[in-house]
Amino acid sequence: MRSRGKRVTTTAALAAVVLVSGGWVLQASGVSPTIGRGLFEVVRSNVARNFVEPVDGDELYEMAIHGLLREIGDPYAAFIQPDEQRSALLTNNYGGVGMRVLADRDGIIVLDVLPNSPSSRLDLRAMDLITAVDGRPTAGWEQEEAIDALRGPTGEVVNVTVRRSEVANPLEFSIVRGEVHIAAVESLLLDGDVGYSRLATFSQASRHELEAAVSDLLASGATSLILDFRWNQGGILREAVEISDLFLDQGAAVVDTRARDPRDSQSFSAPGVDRYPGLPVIVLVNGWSASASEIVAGALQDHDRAVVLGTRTFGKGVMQSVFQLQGGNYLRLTTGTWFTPSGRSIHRKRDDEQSHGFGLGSNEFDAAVAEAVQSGEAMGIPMEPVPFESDSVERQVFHTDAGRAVYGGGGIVPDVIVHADTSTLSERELSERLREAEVRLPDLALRFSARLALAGELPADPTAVTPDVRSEFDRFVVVETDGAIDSDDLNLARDPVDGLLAREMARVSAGEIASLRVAIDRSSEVREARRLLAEARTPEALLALAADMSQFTGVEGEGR
Amino acid sequence: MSRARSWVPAVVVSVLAIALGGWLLQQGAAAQEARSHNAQLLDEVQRLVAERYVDPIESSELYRMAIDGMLYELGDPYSVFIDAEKAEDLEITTTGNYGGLGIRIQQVGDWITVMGILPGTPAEREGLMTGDWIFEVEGSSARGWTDEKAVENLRGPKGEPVELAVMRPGVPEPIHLTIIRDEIHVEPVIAYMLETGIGFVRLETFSKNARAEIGMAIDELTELGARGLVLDLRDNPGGLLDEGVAVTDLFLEQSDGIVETRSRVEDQNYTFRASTEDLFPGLPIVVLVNNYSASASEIVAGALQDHDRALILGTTTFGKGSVQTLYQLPEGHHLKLTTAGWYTPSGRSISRPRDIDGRPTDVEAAQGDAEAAGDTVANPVEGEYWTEGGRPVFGGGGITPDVVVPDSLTEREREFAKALGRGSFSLNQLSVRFAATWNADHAKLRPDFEVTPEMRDEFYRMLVEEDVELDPALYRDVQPLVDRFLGAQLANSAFGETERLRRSQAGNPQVRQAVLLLREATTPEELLNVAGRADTGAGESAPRAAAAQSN
Repeated sequence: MRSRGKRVTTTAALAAVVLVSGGWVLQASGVSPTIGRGLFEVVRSNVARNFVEPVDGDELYEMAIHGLLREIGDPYAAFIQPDEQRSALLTNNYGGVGMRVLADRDGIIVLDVLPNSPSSRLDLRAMDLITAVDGRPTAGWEQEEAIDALRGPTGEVVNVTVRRSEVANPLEFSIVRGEVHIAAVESLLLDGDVGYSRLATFSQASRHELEAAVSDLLASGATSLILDFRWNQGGILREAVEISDLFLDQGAAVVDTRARDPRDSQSFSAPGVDRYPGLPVIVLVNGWSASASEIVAGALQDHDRAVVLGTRTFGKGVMQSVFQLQGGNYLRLTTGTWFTPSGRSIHRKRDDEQSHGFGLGSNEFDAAVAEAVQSGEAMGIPMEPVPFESDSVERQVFHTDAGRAVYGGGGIVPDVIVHADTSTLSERELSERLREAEVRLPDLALRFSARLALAGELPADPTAVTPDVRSEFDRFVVVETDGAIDSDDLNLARDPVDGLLAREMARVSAGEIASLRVAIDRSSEVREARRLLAEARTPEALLALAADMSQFTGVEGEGR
Repeated sequence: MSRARSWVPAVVVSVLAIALGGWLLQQGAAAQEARSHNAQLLDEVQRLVAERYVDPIESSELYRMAIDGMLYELGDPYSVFIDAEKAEDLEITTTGNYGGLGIRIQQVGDWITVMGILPGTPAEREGLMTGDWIFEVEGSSARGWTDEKAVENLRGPKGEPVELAVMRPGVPEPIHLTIIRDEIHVEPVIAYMLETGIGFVRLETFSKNARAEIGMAIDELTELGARGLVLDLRDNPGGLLDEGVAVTDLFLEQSDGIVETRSRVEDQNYTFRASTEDLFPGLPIVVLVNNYSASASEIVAGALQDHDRALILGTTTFGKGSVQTLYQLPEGHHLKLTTAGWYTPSGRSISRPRDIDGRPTDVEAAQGDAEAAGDTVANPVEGEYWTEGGRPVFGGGGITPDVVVPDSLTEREREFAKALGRGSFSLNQLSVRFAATWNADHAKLRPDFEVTPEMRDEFYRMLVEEDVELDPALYRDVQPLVDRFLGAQLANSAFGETERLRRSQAGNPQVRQAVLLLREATTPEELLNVAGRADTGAGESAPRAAAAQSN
C-alpha cells in the first residue's frame, strides 16, 4: 500500500526527529516497533500517576480488559464480574400481568389478554380501559410509561382501575404479577388442508409448542405444512436442534461449528426419528431470518426434507464460549461459526474495516435494522436488509443428500425465490414522507382501530376496509399528525395502508390470530407456498416442483 | 459467595446455549487457585483472546488494543496513545517537513471543489482557481472523495509534485496541472477598518508569531484612526499555549493573572501572569467568540473578561480547558495524556464536559434551530464567579459571552437553506460555483461592485438547473442573505480571501452588534456599561436588534 517514495521520506523525517527531540530510538526501517506487556505497563502506570483525575492503578487493568474486548470488535464478548452475574447470565425474571396494551388519550386500552395469565384468571378482557394504575391516572400516558407501571417483580401486586363499556361503575382489580409465557408459535389451517405455523423466536418451549401445534393441525386435516421463519431472528440453539429433529431421521446432522481451537467445536445431530414422514414442508424465510432460523432451514434443506422459499437469510452464525476465570469472573467470547450439514457457512462475512476482516456483522446488523425501522417500519413493512458487498462474491456450490445444488456465501439461499410484494415507487415515497414526519403508521392504525372498538363502531366485517372507514382513518391521521400526513400521502400506497388497517381492526376485534390471518392472506410468499403445496402431495414431488421453478426464477432472481 | 459460584455455572449449563448469542460453557482450562489479581486477569483474558477468539489477532495488536481500550475507558477524548508510525507523521507536521498546495477544499456532491486559494502558495502560482472541481489526482479518479481523503492525497512531502486534473466552469476539457507541494504558511492575522474609528482583527490560529502579528496589526489600525477594536476569535481552534498567554499579555497590566493550570503533577500547577503593561490602554475591545473558539482562544477571552478589559460577544465557546502532556515512551511511541485543567483568573474552569466522542453533555439544545445553526449555549452553571470589577460571570464550561448574539438565520432563510439541503447543497458551495462561472463569463468586477439583479437571476437559474425546488417568493425574501454570499464569493474569486472576509463580515449580526456597541463607547468601562444597559434594560433587546438589522 505504501509507496516507496513515502517510505524514504518517512525515514528521513525520523532522522530529523531524532535530532530534534533526542532520546528517540531509531527503528530499522520497515520493522514496526512491537507493543507488548512492558509498554502496556508503562502506559498504565503513567496514567495512574499523571491523569488529571485520580484513577486507581489496579482498576486500570479492569478498564483495559473491558476496553480490549470492545476493541476486538466482537459484539458478544463480555467480561463478567462476580457481582454482575445475576443480570448478565440470566434471562430476565420480570413478572407481567399478561396483557397486550396500548396507552391512549383516555387511558390504557387492553388489546388482548393472554390465556393462563394473571389477567385472564381475574377475567380482565380485551377492550377494557385501564384508567388508573396503583391510583395514578393513566390518561395520556406514553406506551413505555404504561409498560413500566404494569411490569414488576414476580409475586408483587399491581392495582388497576378499569372502565368496561357494559358496566356502569369502575372495576377494581388487584393483579399478582407472575411469569407470563408468550407463545412463540401461532398456527392456522389454510384451505382446509394446509397447516401454517409461524415461529416468532426460538425460546424455551418452542419445540413443544410447535410439536403440539403441528399435531393439532394434522388432526384438523392438514396434509402439508408451512413453517414461517420470516423475521425470526433466532434464540436458543437447543430449540433449533430439537425443532430440526422433529423432521429429520435419527442421527442426521443438524449443524456443526468450526472454531480455531478444537475444544470449542461442537456437532449436533437429530436424536429422534422423523415425526412426520411423508409430510410436505415449506419453510418460509426472508432477509431477517437469522441464526437459529438459519440452522433449521439449512438442515432441512441439506437433507432434502423441506423446500425453502423466500429470500436469502441474514447470515448470522457465530458461536460463543464462556470461560471461567479466576476470582469468579467469566469471559464470553466468540470462538467459532456455524456450518450446515453440507458444509455451508451460515455466517455471511461483511467487509468492514473495523472488524478485522472477519466481520461479525453487528454494525451492519444494527445499521440494517435502523434502515428497516426508518424506511420500512414506518409503513409497517420492513424493507429487506441492504445488500452487502459479499453478495458479489463468487458463490460456492454445495450438494444436499440427494445431490441438489445449494449455495454458500453465507445465509441460506432459498430453493424458490419469492420477494415480498411491497415497495413500489409510490410506496417508498409514502415511507419517505412518514419517516420525515416521524410518523409510525402501524401505531396510528392500531390506535384508530382500538378507539373504534372502544366506541363500538367497528365495521361488521373488520377485515373489509370500507370507503367510510378509509376516509375516517384519513381524517384521524391528519389530526394525529397535525396535518403532516394527509389523504394524498396515503393514496400513494392505498393497498398496503388498507392491509394495515384490516390487520389492526382484526386484532382489536378478534385477537392476534385473526390479525395474523389477514396478514398471511396478503402475503405473496404464503400465496406461492400454497400454490406449490396444492400441486405437490409428497415431499419428493415438492422438491421436483421447486427444482423446475428454480431453473426459471431461483438463481437468476437472487443473483440480480 | 461460594453459593453464588456453584450456582451460576449450573444455570449456564442448563439454560444458556443460545445460538443468537450461542454460548457453550467452557471449563476454565486451568482453574488456577492463585490469588485473584486484576493484572493476572488481564493476562488471562489476553491469552484466551489470542488463542480462542474466532479471528486471529497478533499479540502485539492485542496489547495495543488493551492500551487503547484502557484509555477509552477513561472517558477523555484527548487522552490517546500515539504509536511510533503516527508519531512520525506528527513530527513531519510540526517540523514543517510536510507540504501542501495552499487551497481550501470541500466536498460538493460527488466532487472535491476548491473553495479558496491562499495567496503566495503553489496553487496560486500554477493557476488553480476557486470553483475548480478536482477530477483526478495522480491519474486516479477523485470521484466521491471525502474532504479527509482529499487532504490525505493532496498533502505530502514538501518538494514532491502532485498531478491534478480539474474541471473549470466555462472550460469544456479537463485542465491538467502539476503542482509542487510546498510548506504552506497560513497568514494568521487579517486586519482592516470596519468603519471610521473601528478596527477589525481576525486571528485564525495561535501560531508562532500570533502576538507579534496582532500587535503590529493593531498598531496599524490605530494609525488609521481606530479608537475601538473588534478582535475576532470565532472558529479559532487555539494553538500554542504560550501565544495565547502572550496575546492576552498585550492588553493586561503587568502581573495580572492570565490563566492557571491545576494538576496532580506538581510542576504543572502554575499561574501565568502578564509580563508587561497594557500596550493599548483605554482601547475599547469587543472579542467575538463562537462554539468553535477553543483552547487558547478561551484563555484570551476568559482573562480579558475576568479583568473587565474586553466585552465578550457571540456564543458560548467550545470548552477545551485541559492540558495534554506528550510523554515519550520506548521505541518511538507516545502517550498524549490530559494532565491538567485550565482555570481563568476568577477561578472558572474552561472545560466543558464531553463524552468520549467529543459531544458536549451539558447542552440542552437551547432551541432546536440554534442547535442546527451550530449555536449552542451551555447551561450556565452553579457557582457564579465575579470579575475584578464585580460583574458576575458564569463557570461550567466554555466562556459564556457577556452579550449573547447567535449567528443564526431567519425563519425564511432556514426554509431556503433546507430547500438547498434537500439537494445536498449548501449556499456557500453553490455560491463558490456561481462565482467561478460568473467571473469566467463576464468582465472583471470592480472592487466596489454590488450584487446585481442579473447575478441573482443567473444564480436562480443555476439552482433550478440543480433541481432545487424553490418558490420564487422565498428566493426574493432571502435576497439579503443571497447577496451576502454571492458578494463574498465573487469577491473571493476576483480579489482573494481578505475581500471575501470583508464582504461576508459586513452583514454578520455579531460584527454589526459589536460595531453598534463600540460606536457608543470611548473607554473599556463605557463599553461594559453600554452593553450592560442593553442587556438588562430590555432583556435580550440587543441581540434582537442586531438580528433585525441584518435583514
